[in-house]
Amino acid sequence: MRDPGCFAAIFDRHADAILRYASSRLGPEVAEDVTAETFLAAFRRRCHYDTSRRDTRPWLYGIAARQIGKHRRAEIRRLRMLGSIPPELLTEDFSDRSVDQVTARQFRPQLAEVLSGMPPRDRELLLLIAWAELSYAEAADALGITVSAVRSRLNRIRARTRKVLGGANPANTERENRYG
Amino acid sequence: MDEIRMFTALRPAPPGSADQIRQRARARLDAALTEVPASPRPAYRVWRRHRLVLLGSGLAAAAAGAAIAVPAALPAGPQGSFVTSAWA
Repeated sequence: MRDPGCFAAIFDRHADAILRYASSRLGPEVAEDVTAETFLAAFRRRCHYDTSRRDTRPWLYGIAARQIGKHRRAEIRRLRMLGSIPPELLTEDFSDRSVDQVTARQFRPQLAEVLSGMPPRDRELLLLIAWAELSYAEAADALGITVSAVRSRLNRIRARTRKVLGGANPANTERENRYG
Repeated sequence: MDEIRMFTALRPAPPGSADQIRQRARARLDAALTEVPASPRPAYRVWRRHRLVLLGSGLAAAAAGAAIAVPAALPAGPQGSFVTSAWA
């Protein structure tokens, strides 16, 4: 980890994931900058890395999140557009025709509104879990908060989402409509 | 369905040119790494500087304390203390 040679191996192992995440949030043009800056910042801070960590991934995502935070305005603009992006440009697996996923797609404009309107630190957490697919513990590690804080913030996000979507879980409503 | 999971439906597709972007990012990183010293400043050097600063501060504080305490402890005569005669 502290050797520049080893650091190249870390880049090779994690760059794709960081790039994908940054691109999801800011688009491919800015993602290149964010990825390079993330690994450069990680290299500079390698002396502060806790070698007792089992995985470098959350640490790198934490650094990437700070780099992404420097482009907040661009991100908000992009998030507002997400509601109107054609479905085929989303990463959704369209073989998944479950009620849940179909319902989520129907509510994309509202979800995009929730996402762009929430406080940055809540959005950071939500996207680390929903888009980067980190576990609660990994997201807590990346953001330097406790797992109970993660749960608390996610509950707040759930409540806010339910409110914007009409006060009920739309998937449940869908089921009720379908099954009487 | 968990509301959190619904947000995955918003995730944009990965860029088609991900390999090229990654290679460019790697090239930028490599270029930057050649400018950065291979290893950061050793911890002992940092500690040595801190120790010098602490030592200097301690000496200054001790000198100031002595300048105040020593004249106050000296015996005073009819013409005042050693200090007042020195001032005169």
